[in-house]
Amino acid sequence: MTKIIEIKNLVKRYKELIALDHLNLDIHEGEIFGLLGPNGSGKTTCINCILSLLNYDKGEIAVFGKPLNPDSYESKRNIGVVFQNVAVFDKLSVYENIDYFCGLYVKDKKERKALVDEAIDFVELNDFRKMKPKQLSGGLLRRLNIACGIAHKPKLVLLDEPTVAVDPQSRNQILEGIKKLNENGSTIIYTSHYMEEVEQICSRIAILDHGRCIALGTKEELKNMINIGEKITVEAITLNEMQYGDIKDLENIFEISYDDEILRLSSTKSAQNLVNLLDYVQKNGIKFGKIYTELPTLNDVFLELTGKELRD
Amino acid sequence: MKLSLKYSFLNTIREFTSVFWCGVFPLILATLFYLSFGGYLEGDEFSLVNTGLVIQNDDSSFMEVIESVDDEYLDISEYNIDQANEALSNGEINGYYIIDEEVTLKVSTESVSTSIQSSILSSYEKNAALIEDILENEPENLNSALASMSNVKTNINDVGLSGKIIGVNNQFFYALIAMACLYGNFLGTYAINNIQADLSPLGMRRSVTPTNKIQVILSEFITNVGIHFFNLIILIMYIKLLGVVLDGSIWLILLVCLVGAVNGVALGMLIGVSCKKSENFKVGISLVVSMSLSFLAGLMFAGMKGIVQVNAPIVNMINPAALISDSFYSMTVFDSMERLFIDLSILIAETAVMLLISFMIVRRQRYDSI
Repeated sequence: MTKIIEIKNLVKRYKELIALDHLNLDIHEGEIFGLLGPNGSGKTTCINCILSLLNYDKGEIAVFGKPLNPDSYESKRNIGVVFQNVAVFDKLSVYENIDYFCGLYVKDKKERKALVDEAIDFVELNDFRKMKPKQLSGGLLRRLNIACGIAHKPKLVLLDEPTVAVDPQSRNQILEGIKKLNENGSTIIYTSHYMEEVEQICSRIAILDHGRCIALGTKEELKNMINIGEKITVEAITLNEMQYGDIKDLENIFEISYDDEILRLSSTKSAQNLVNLLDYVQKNGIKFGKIYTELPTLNDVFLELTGKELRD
Repeated sequence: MKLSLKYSFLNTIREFTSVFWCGVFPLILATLFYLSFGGYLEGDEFSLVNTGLVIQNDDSSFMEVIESVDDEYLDISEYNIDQANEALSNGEINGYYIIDEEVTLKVSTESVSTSIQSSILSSYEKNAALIEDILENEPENLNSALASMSNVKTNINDVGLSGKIIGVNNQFFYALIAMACLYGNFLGTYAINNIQADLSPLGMRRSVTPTNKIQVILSEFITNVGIHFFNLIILIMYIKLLGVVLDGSIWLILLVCLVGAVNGVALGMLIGVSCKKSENFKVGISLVVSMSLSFLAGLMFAGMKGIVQVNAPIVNMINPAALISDSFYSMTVFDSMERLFIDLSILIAETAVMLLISFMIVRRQRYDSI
């Protein structure tokens, strides 16, 4: 598989703070690669180093097989960037903004017009073409931000937390759009601290913490790295002290809570956990309203690897 | 480049800061100046020069000259020598003539008034020498020669200020034009803010495009100078309409405006690249810098430039506002272009230095932190 980006041993310091600590990453053509980590974990610094905006202390970065320098115009032509902060001209309309940024990549007027129209369709801003950014809602503004970054149809798109402060409906539209971009042939690097988003769209994920890559793989691979199995929740269940103690002692159960007739169990990996619980409940004639299980999330992965929540 | 120019132009002219501070505010200020001065913008009448007269020989033909200019150019009072010295030292008179076998003039300091007194005397001395010559060589033409020489006023007008005379209030307007030129720094600061990746998200986005950075800067620079040049032309037309004396060829006026616009935008770019503070902070800095320089050039107090000239002449030599204001003054008052070209040369040199520093800083394309 062709490597689009290759990062070797990357170190970036801000005075005493180590923002990236010997980071190694390979990003392959055609994938949606997620950089997941809490605020301050080094995601944006990593993106800015890849884009050659930041100096770094050590390491190598190759984009499309070559080091990317500020004057690597040929490589830059194939890169689209959607920054965390909306980067558009306040005084230009939606159309003018997209036209301007697309024009920095595409010189042919006809081709550019077609690309701009396509980008406007893509982010569904057709009804807002003549509006100024200040007249747009947060979600629409984010979509304009994305359109400015992808209008020239780049082979590689870097999206740095594009859904921050966006309503759920716009968020879903943005995520669907990113999947569509990928289906159309773009390789995507997506940074976020929202694990649900990363789980939803990324084919491979790197979890960053304190500038280090603490885990890398598909979401299934990441979840397999940890010992946590499913979480079982039983609602409207009445237990006495003895029954509570028996359930606590069931095999693989390592965490239990019982409050307001809701029983919550966390277990280590095993196919028998739910069966064991149901057996016990049935044998003891315990009635309950509803039972369901949840598979471990990336937050659980992060929690087990670092001892803290992703959003801490 | 064309597309960059187009959108840079549209973005700038739609920006309140640039339209108000660079275009509208100088027009408001010009109107306020005009209203405050009540239209006293025409060339000043000669105010009579207080002059002492110490007569030690009343047979001198200089007495006739004095009679002809009394109450026209000079306000003459007779003194003895001690009284004259006292009047001179306490400022009652600007100078006094001692009329004896020869006529001498004593003044305290050199000024426009004393140059008038001196001119009258030198005109008399020249004529006296001429009369002696005529008596010696062509005595028959003496009468006609005396008739032509009796028009001392004509001679005085020729030598009065060796050029045109303007009202002091006009200088406020020259300082105002200078201030308007320097207000181009708002445009420069704004442009730099939108170019530098370490200053704005827009700068980041522009830095990752496959466009040469110098080209981006150049398009912003050309647009902003163009817009500001247009602002200045509107201002010049407006203040001419108000009756401000602004002589000189239209091409020279345009040249001074263009150099002023370039200087203002370059100053803004320098401010923009020099600090990493917020845009509003930089607008504040731009305002303080341009107002301070304009104050020193006499925008709020006409005598300020003179005070600076006496105490720190180097400030007037490098203050762009003083240089621009002086360019308009020189163009209007002096026939010689020498002073104007010196002013313009210094302005161009300063602009080149500011642009060079700005470009050097902006050229740096990777940052330690963003």
